[in-house]
Formats: sequence, C-alpha cells, structure tokens
Amino acid sequence: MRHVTLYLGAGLIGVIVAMAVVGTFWTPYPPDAVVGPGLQPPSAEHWLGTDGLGGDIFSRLLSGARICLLIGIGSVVAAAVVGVPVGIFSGMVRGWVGEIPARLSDILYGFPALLLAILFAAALGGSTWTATMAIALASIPAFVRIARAATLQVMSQGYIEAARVSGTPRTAVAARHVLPNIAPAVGVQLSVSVGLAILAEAGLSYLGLGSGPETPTWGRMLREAQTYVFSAPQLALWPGLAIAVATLGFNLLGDGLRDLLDPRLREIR
Amino acid sequence: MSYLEITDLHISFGRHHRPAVRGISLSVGERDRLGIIGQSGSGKSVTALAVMGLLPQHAHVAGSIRLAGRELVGLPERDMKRLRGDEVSMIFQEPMTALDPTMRVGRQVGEVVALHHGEKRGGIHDEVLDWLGRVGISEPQRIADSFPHELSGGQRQRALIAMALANQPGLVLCDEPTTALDVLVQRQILALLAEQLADRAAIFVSHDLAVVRQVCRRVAVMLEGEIVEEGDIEDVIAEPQHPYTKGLIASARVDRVAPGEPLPSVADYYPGAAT
Amino acid sequence: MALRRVGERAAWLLASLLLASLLIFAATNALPGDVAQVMLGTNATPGEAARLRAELGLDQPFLVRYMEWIWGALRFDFGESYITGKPIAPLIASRLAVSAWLILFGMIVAVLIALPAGAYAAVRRRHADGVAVSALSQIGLAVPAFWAGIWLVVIFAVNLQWLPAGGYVTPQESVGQWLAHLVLPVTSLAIVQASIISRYVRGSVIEVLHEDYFRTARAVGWSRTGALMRHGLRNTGISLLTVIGLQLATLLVGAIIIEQVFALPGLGSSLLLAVSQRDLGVVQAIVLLLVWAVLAINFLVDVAYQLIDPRLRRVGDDR
Repeated sequence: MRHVTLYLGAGLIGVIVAMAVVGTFWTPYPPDAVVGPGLQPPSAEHWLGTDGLGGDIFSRLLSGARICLLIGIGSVVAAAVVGVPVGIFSGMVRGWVGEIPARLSDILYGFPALLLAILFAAALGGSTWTATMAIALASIPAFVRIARAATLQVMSQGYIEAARVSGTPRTAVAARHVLPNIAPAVGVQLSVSVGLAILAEAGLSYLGLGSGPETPTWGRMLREAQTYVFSAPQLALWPGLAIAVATLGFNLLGDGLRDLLDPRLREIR
Repeated sequence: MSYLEITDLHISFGRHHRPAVRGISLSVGERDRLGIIGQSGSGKSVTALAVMGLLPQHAHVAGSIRLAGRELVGLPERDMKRLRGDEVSMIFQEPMTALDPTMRVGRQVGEVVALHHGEKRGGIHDEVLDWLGRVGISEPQRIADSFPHELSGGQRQRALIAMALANQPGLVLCDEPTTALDVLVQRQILALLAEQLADRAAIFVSHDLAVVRQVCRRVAVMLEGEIVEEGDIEDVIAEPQHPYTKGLIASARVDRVAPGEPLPSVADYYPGAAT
Repeated sequence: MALRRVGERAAWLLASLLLASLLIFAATNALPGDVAQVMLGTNATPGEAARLRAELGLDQPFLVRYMEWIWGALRFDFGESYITGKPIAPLIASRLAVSAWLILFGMIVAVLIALPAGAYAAVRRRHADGVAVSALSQIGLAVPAFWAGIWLVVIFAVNLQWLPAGGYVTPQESVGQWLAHLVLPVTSLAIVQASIISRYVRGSVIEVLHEDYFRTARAVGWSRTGALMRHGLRNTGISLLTVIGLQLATLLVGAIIIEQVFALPGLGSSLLLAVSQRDLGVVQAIVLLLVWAVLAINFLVDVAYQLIDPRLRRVGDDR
C-alpha cells in the first residue's frame, strides 16, 4: 500500500506518454484529415468512431497526447528555469532588494494563465506559442514562492551561517546548500504545475485561444464536440477523459513525491 | 476496593500489535496520590491516556480499568465522554499549545462546566472567576477575557488546571504538568497541585523523581511497559530494589558526586535504559 | 502593530494595482499589431491608417496614452469600442451582474460541499469511506470544469430535460427562471472548487486533530465531532479564508470558461468576443477589472485575517 499514489500517478502518466510516443510514429489515419463520413459510431475501421467533420477520433486522440505533454511540460520547465533562480535570489538577499522579486511575482499571481493568454491573443492572435507563453508566465509565481520559502528556511539554519562566516561566497553557499535542499520542493511543484498547465491548455484550446484548427488538441476536440452535444454527446467523452487522466496522473505523482520526500507531511496530505 | 483499580492492563498499537504496556496492575485509593515514573516510551503516559479513554484509534487495550467500580475498558464512547472532564480529568504537559488559540480563556474554562452540567442558573461566569482565583490567578477577570497567547506559560497551566478541576472530578491525571515550565514557575505549580489534589485521587506521571516526591506519597517505576518497582516513595528512594531505580536515584543526586568524578547515569546501573 | 501592517499592505495594494494596469496596457499596446489596420481592413491606404491612428490618439507616446487610459479607468470610463463604436463602461456594467452571481454562488456552493467533505475525509482518513472522499476530490481536481459542464448539459438538459441547457434570465424577469438557468453553470464551477477547497479543509482538520488543544477539548468531555465543531472549525475557518481568497483567481477563470459552455452573457463572453474581434479597448478594460478584483480581494482577505485571528489582532508583529 505504500507509495500507491506515486505508482498510480506514474502509471497514468505512462499511459499518456505511451499514447504520445505511438501517436508520433503511427496513427490509424491522418489526425487532421477527413477520412470518412461524420459522426460514425465506433467500428472496426474507426475504433472510437468519427467526429462531426469525419476525422478519426482515435487518431486525433493519439496525436493530442503529444501536444498536451509538450505544452504542459515545456511551459512548466520554462517557468521553473526562470522562477527558481529568482526565488533563490529573493530568499538569499536580505532587505528590499530581495523583497522586490517576491512582490512582483505576487502581482503576476493575480494574472491567471487564461487572462494572460487573452491579452496575448488580443494583441497577437491566438496560437500554440501564445498559449504556451501565457501558461509559462502564469506558472512562474509558484516556483518563485516555493524556492524563496525553501531558501529562507535553509538560510536560517546554523550551517549556512557557519559557511558564510568561514568566508564562502554567496553563490557558493547557494550551489552547495540551497539547491540540494530545495530540490524536493521544486520537484513536487513541477509535477503539480504540469497538472495545472494541462488543464489550462485544455481550457485555452476549448475557448479557441490556443492552437489553431489544424492541431487536434484535446481541448479543441471538446470545443467541436459541444456543437453536437444534442445529437452526438459521445464525442465529448474521450478527449475529456484523456485530459482528466493526464491531470490526475501529474497531481498524483506530485502528491506521491511529496509523501516520499517529506515524511513529515505524509499524514497531512 | 480502591477508587481506581487497574488489573493486568495490556496496550499495543497498530496492525502488528507493537506492545506499549505489558500487563500492569495498579490501584489508587480515594485520596491517594500515586506517582508513575519512567523514561519516555516506558508506557506511563499511555497508561494515563488509557484511563481517559483517549488512546488513538489504532490502539488495542486488554485487561481491566475500574473507576469507582465501573469498568472503563470497552465502555462505549458516549458513556466515556460523560466521565471525561467530570469524574476523571487530565492535565497535560504543554500549556503553551493546550488551549484553543482562537477562544478567550474564560470561555474555555466555563465550557467545561456547561458541557457537563448545562448552562446552570447563569452562574458559570462567577464560577469561572472563582476557579481562576483558586488556582492562584491574581486578576481573574482580566485573564478570563484574554486569549491564550496573551498569558504566560504558568498562567496558561493554571487555567488548564482550573479546567481540569472545575467539575470536582474524583480522579485527576497529571502528565508531566510542569516539565515545560521554568524552575520557579514549576515550584509554584507543584505547590498548587499538591494543595488542590489533596482531597481526591490522582496519578502523577513524570520522568523526574524529585517532582513526584513533592506531590505523591506512593510511586510506581515503569520500564518498557512493566512496573518494576512500587511502594512508598521515601522507602523507594531510601532502598531502591531494581537496578533501574537505583540508577534514577543516583543520577538525580548530583550533589553527592565528588568534583572530578564522572556524573552517574541510569545506564551505569541498568544498561538496558541507555537512551 | 496590526494597523501599521494593514497600512503597509494598502500601500502595496496601490502599487500592485498600478503595476498590473501598466502590464496590461503594455501587453496590448507595445506588442506588434496595428489597431488602425485591423479596423480598416487590409486594403486601406497608409494615409488612411495614419489619419485614423491620429484620430484614435494612437500616435501619442506610450506613456501619454497609458496615463489617459488609466485616468479614464479610475473614473470608470474606458472609451469606446473600436468595433461597435459604443462606450465600453455601460457594456461592462450590464455584464457584470451575471458573472458576479455565477462566482458568488459557485464559491458558496463549493464551501458548503467542501467543509463537511473535507472534515469527513480527515476524520475517517484511515477508513475506506474517508479515503473514497479524498479520491473523489482528487478526481474532481483533474476534471476540466467545462467538461463537467458539457456532461451536466447532456444529462440534465438534453436527456432529462429538467433544466435549460444555457442562456440567462435576469432575476427581475423571473426569479425561478433565473435560478434554473444558474443551477448547471454553478454546479460545474463548484465541483472543481469544492475539490480544491476540500483538500485544504482535510489537511487543516488533520492538523487540528493533532493539536494539543484538540486533545484538551476531548479530555474535558467533548466527543470527537463536538470538539471538531467547537474548536476545530474556528481554527480551520481562519486558514480557509485565505484559501478562498487565493482561489478567487481560479474561480474567475473558471467562470469565463463556464460562461462560454452555457452561453451566459457575462463578462467572460464579452471578453472572448472582443478577443476574436481584436477589440483591444474592451479586452484591456475587462482584464483590468478582473485582475484588480483579484488583487483587491486578496488584500481584503489578508486584512480580514489580521482582524479575525486573535494572535495577530493585538501583537501584529509577533509573526
């Protein structure tokens, strides 16, 4: 029973990754083409049926997995690359200089990914890039916060003071003590943020603010499915399920990692 | 028959029945004060919690605990909760965190009375002030209107003692009630407890023989879930039988160590006790 | 003292409001893209475009235009829509109520579900039913709100035909119809929120169960439930307030999407229409309003927290 969330999360992510890998090299039909009559029920030719325009749902589903992972993981890794150093800096430098990045990231926290994406889409037109940028920007504050809090905690430990007194420069202190100590917290946040990013991306595609019609993202499939909600509600089933599985996977992985890395919190979460 | 009669009590925890108390028997008379002494993990606090019926849900209890003739082991929770705070109450170690930080102290004391005896005749307010005065709080009204964080550790422990005594329980369990306090306050609280517990049954759990000596006439020494020695406290101190008890007493008598000699530790007498 | 801290927070709030507005204005103005070109279409001559830009004040320096915009915004005057030519402020005012009701009801329903569910999951965390509640909240967290909305429509509007699939009726027209049109959107919004909040409640209640004052309450004769209601909820409630404030941003975003699912004429649908038409004035105005609302409410929650928690009320600098 131990680490059950971790394994479950990893398993669900494994399913999505497998879909993405398979979808990259092989789909039964081209995912972005009309391959038959619309709204076909599942059959031997079309395992999950066809959508309103006659696209093969299974092919589109497979191909959506790659985009989902690319945007979700890509944007969050970018956010961590920016947010973690800023957070460490903010935690190590005392006084208002250290305070400023933390406060700025608090403001950014008031801008959810969707609002940023709307701003970008209004100025530039919506695309995969604006969606990814918006999600990345919106994911930064969480990393700043977590890196700052962890750094502050590490910096208050006696051995840091000892290292500073013995003349070790600041950057060396950060590299030697802070980074390894905040790594677990950042790892957990990475997983949690990817879950949120996948949800955000789905929402953006659903609203038509993300990738264009040529890219079969799961959110866009749901957008198209809604047109047929009275005649063919089954179209909304698979893409939504896929989003939920991917998000659940990363959320569980995050929880499992937290349990694994911080036994003190095991009871609480 | 004594007021509290514990017979062959076994307590273990979890799926693997990790034992904490291995078949102890104790009795406390109606105005008797028994000290239980032992190091952490010896099962002394677990025994006290068992009497309160407050062991965690994964605890397994076997044997018998009788309070005024009534069997407490296996007593349904709805009956047990009527006894708690009324017939039997407990004073804990951490006065700093044992009060609800969001509620004024007077209300928390009054709640104990109201809980068991209803909102009787609107006199609870006076009763609260009366009790706060009796536990040695000099400005009862001001303290009653304060939040816990505004009080000192000693004042908080006094308030908690007032809560434990408010319904005149027959038995009071004290679990290291002075350990978290500084020496001066410790002495005051011990004097207060000795005075307040004089006319009721009490069990006083501590790791400190000197503390127990100030409040109790009898003492039981617990080690690894068993009682290894029991008797009149002065007799035990004068002629300890078990090597563990000998070590406890020797390590408490630092004044008898010649300069330059190593300090005695319990482990010198009872190697199994090394912590 | 606490008052000084509130003053500091207020000053910081003003600074954040200003910075946020600057960010919004910069994002929509400094980025490439020419409003005049959009308005006139691709076959306009450069001369026509230049004239229109001058007319709209777009040839002014960035800071001048920003000052004009923010000065107008403070008086609730956002100018006119580039597309319809109508003033923006009245449009926002007429749309605000729909979104506000959706968010308000969504949060209330979410808290009403999350409190008992989270507390139950905490108390029964070692039993199958408590674990099941936790698992359910974990699933609710992963399900996109708009997907839940689509299925609610399929079940309750299309198949059972109990409730309307979308649209809006004002409470002035018919209170019953108004509520009927809000049930499904509010439910889809609340499912996700309740899942998030119930997890906080669960964690917070488990902490309370380990607190010494909880043990004290049990020792004076409270049952587990009694002690939890009397002493647990007071302490959980304080931290819950912060969570609700932080969740507001999520809720606003959720509302924008949900308005789209149920064709509710709220701020979100205006915003999305404006984006598709590249109507920058409307986009700026609504985004500014939403972001300011998030920042202001977080400020209020922070102040309320100072006032409610007795530990902070008198010795503000203690922690």
